[in-house]
Amino acid sequence: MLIKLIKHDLLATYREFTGLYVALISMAIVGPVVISTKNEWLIAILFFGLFGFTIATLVVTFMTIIKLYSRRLFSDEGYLTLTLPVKTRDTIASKVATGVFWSFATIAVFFLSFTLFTTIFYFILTGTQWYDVSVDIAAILGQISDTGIFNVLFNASLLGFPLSFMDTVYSMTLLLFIITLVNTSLIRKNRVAAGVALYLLASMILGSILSNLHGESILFTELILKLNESSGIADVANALRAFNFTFNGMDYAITLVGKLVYIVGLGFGTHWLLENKLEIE
Amino acid sequence: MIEITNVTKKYAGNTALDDVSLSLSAGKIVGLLGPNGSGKTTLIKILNGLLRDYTGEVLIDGHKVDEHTKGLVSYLPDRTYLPDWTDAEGAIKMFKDMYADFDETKMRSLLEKLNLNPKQKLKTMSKGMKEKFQLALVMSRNAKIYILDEPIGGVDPAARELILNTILQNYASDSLVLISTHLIADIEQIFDSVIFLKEGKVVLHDDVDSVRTKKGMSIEAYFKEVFRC
Repeated sequence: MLIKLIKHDLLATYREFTGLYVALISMAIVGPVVISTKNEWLIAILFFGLFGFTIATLVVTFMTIIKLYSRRLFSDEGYLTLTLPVKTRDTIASKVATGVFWSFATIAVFFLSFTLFTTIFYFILTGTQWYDVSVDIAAILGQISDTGIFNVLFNASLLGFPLSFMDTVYSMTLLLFIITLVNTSLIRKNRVAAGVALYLLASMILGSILSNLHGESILFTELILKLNESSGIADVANALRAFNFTFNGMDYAITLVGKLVYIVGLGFGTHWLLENKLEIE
Repeated sequence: MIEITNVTKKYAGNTALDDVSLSLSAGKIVGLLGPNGSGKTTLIKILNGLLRDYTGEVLIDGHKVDEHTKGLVSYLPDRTYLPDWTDAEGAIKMFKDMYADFDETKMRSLLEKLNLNPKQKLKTMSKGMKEKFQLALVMSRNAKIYILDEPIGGVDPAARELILNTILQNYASDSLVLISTHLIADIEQIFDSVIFLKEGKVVLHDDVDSVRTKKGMSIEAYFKEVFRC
């Protein structure tokens, strides 16, 4: 039943996100073309637009997830969602899973847009064709690969992924908890204002508790690139060879366990509120 | 089938339900009657798990309100609860996915009878069409209990008859149908028993024939007498 709930939550939200992603990718394609015109005004507008759009994407993603939770659970749609023959824990899990999915999808589309932007920009800037550069790219990648940077990044990502995953799940669980809280009999007035204030307060308190318990789990060394006109690929390679990270196992474990405790606590809290204090208007 | 014992629900000091106790058995169509603000919708929300903060006990088929009872109850709220972006077909798929007792064949035949297009987006449907569509979804479940909150409240008199016929022709005879309404004249002929709610209290719970015999008047006339301002 959980899978079905997630499926219907994704179906209910994909329209908002599809529009956003199409706009992001379109800007990544159009952007380099605008730059190639060398028109300063157009370029300034483009960068202003890109900056604004990046912020807007993050805000829209966040707002759409808030809408998903409040609309699907506590507006008229809640009369359907909350009367489905499913366990309360499945309702909570499906909402958190959907929020996490869209958060990561947004990051993936950002990454894709950035790659598209730089690739198209490179081709326009150099005026080269794909078959000209493919050999060069392969050679450059080979040299970069010899520095071991890909291993470093891969290992760091491998270690970093559980942290960012737990962090996203925690953010979604906190959001769902607060939205649920302001839709119960405990808060009957100024629900939106109370929700915003409680979310900021809870984020601050929970974040500072955890940050006082541990330091940085993954600490990258500074990447020093001192390049001049005579610098070659070897100088870049040397700089990359020196790039690495230190891994603090204890801090890493504390962060993971701390986030897990928060997730479980907030999950149980949301469950209790839905089972005991729910008050749909 | 439904046991409600000493249920009281307050909203910020205002009592919506005051020590309500009721026992409703299967195989009956029960009218939940009362003027606006008498507590009908509050009681229905409690039965469907949309209100949880109350005192007293509610048991449906021997269970407190949970996923089991929600599987037994087919609920029509007094508002449109389907998202606007979907079409009728999407809503049917959703009901098929979520309710084991949903009868798709019955639904298709109801769509035809109610003259509704399965490809039509909900946002392009009129209020009356949406209400008919939701009713078709709800009545296409082979549920043990149907709870219908103001099913004829927002439709014109011509559509009321169609809706009443849809209800009568599509509920299982061994199920319990609880219908809340304040439009008694249109619907009283289908009730087996009635509950009068006044300011959150049950002032009457009796068989329709018994009320008519004892009071010597129709349910609507007696309702007007009880609720006269």
